[in-house]
Amino acid sequence: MAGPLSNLTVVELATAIQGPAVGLYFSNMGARVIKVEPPIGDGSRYHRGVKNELPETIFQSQFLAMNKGKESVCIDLKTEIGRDFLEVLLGKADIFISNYRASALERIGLELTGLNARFPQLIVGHVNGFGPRGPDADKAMLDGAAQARGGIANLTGKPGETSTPPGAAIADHAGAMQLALACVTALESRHTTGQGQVVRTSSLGAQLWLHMWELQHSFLTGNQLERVGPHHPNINAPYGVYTTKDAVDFMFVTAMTNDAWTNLWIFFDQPDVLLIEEWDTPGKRIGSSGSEDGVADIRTRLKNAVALKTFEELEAFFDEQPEIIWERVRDHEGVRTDPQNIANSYVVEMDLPTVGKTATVGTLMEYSLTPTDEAVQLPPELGADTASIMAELGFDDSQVEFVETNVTNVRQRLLSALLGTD
Amino acid sequence: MAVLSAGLRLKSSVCATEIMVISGPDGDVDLTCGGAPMTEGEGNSGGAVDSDHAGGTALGKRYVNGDGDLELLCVKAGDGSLAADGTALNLKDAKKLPKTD
Repeated sequence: MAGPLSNLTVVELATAIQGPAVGLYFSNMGARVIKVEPPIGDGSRYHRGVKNELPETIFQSQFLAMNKGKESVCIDLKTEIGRDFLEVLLGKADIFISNYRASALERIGLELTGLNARFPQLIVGHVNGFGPRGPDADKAMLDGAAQARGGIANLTGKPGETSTPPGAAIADHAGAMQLALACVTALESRHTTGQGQVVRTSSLGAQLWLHMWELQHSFLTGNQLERVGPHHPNINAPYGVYTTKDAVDFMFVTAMTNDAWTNLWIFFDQPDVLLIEEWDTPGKRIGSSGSEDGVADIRTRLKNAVALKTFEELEAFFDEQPEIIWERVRDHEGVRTDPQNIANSYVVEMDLPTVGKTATVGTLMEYSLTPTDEAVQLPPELGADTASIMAELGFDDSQVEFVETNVTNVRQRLLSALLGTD
Repeated sequence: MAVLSAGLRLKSSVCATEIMVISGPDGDVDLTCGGAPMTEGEGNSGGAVDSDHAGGTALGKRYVNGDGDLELLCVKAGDGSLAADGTALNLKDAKKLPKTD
């Protein structure tokens, strides 16, 4: 595959989102990513989500999103040949990535520092829930737990009501983003030291990274930021989501010039707002000095004014005001059809077996010298590349047959137990 | 003649112009648009814009007098031009932001 990292081989031993999203980054960048899956496969192959009437046999959304362009080896790492295979594979790899718990890796002989000792050139990348040290270093984690513990969930939702986590797996994705960055950093370091190293990130750490400004404000002032519904807890300004007469939500960020602020309130036929000194400069309007009463007042004025306009009326006005920062709150269909996403290949089309054409998220990064592939690669069927990669590494046909027979048997046993049919 | 206090909205009696007072002097001011007095009432009553006061007003622009104690905001544009006590008002220059480089 083409791309800036097409010279790299990455071995992924990972499940769900956080680990596979790291592998996806390298796959998008052109690296060869070999996903080593247990006999039952990555669990995300079975995650059907909501409102899904498509067949169980297709690539399910979570697996599809995270595993495009990878190869799959299905092998039982609890067997001797499974461990032998991985040792040979890692000897030819540049990066190993995993989001398995450290204790689970150790049970199959993959203690991280031990890996680093056996494969000095290898970048050993690991992402977990709560960091590599401390009492919860090996505690189980799924996305929402890290959102809660990292403080972000406390800042979203209405004041006085239940915290409302963002409706996306941001903890997993952020932890993955940090590990991808850490692995690339370690690769650059390898150019200097000639050595690989163990790099570790976590969902918890990534949550702190995602809202460093807000955390710093609470730490610095000693005053805890509190959730404020459709507004930002640390921006004392009109900034926030407002709803039009015809029930369309849009985010009003700010008017960057006084002319734009003037035009806004003339448009609403409330020019008297322009007499309020608290909002008469661009800095004040982005929250440099707003008072509690003043903020409540201007938000109420804007909310009431917006409620008298249809979205079409507002959009026509905003389109003439380039110095006002605003955006409609889009649903996923709005994202799919957004001309900006299409123009930048942020949303691209792919052909999926059984389903046909569907949309998916593209590479999202652009390189002038080493462009990435434009064509979207399918994710692998479970074990699709077991035989070819084993052969490539010098294993013979009888060993391949043993591995494939073994994983089929183990898979049937596990599925029977899970489905209660044994 | 009227005291022009902040927030007061006035209409031209000969064109579509409407203004809001941003700031005004302490005393009475004879404010005209298109050569005719501005009013708080119905606005354009069908009269003609005086050709000597036909420069027009621009939506969203601010107009000031020479002393700097009167400032008006045009909230609806029209064909007449604004004057206070017989002297034409000037378009207020937008303040330039300081350079940061």
